[in-house]
Amino acid sequence: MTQRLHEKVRQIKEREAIRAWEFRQRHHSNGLWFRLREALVYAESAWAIGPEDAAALTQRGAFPLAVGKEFHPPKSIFIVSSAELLTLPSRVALPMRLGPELLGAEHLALLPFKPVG
Amino acid sequence: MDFRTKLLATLGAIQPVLDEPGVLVAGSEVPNLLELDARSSLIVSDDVDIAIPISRHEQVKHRLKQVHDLEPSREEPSVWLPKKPGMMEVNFIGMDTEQVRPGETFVFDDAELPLLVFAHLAFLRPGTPIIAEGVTIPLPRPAGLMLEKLVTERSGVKGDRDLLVVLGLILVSSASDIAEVIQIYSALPHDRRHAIRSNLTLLSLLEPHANMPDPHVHRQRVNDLFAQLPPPGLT
Repeated sequence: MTQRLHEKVRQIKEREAIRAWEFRQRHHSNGLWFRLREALVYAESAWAIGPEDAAALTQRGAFPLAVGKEFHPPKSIFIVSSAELLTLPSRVALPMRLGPELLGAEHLALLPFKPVG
Repeated sequence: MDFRTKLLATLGAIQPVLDEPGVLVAGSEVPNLLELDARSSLIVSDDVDIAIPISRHEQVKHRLKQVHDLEPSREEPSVWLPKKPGMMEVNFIGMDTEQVRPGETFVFDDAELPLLVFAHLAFLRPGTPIIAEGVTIPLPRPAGLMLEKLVTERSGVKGDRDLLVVLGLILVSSASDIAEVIQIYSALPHDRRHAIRSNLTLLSLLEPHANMPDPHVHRQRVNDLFAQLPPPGLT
């Protein structure tokens, strides 16, 4: 009678084994999506910017996030202040979800949340 | 019949079990019950989970004899089905509060009331019971339930909804609840901490679902919690 419960336990253990593997892989390509989401979770808004604006940010000394370089083709992802954002004429606001707009953008500017307190 | 009436009618029907010390309403209905006057505006599923400490298993079986409006499913006796309309299914699940088999999910075999004991239900701690429509409902503290939802592997629409339940819990949590989340989190193994952070990033980018809190509106709250949970290896 408890056969179904035992089957559920087996499935749960299988998922846990996968999770342990994913954890071990988190610094490798398997963890890429997590690292991108981790960058996005801190962002209040995300903006697609053109290559000229990306180049201008680099010229001003901004460093793109390492996670962007792991994509093929690579993405340049910058953390910008609200003042810096206003200097980027090509900026287009993107919905904050892992959708085609955000994933398709080659150059991204992320505006972080204001720290609490 | 509205969802709240159905939920409270079901909980009222199993009041003898809910009166057993240590028994808790768990799962996705908790944020519904934590709303003001148990308003139950978040419709997640048409069943309710009742967590039974395995140390209280015998007492619960005894109390189940006083439940008349539901009966055990023939296929899965840990699921009790309503005998009349206007109520929902009840899933009895096991909680290893005394850490007999810590960190393990297992079947507590019993001919009458077998229980699937979920490892992460051990995070649950009794909170303040609420009384709604004359039913006394023992609820867990939000912190443990939030972590249980975040650490358990889920997928698909059910997984999304469970994450939105976490959002519902974040929205009703006090500063001390969040402090409790951080405290429990800090003691977890690295892979579980990673799972919790990973699920929070998913929640932060989730699409809105009907009858659930809108994750876009509350991204700052998710960010605040995420920022307080250091990555594994940094603590």
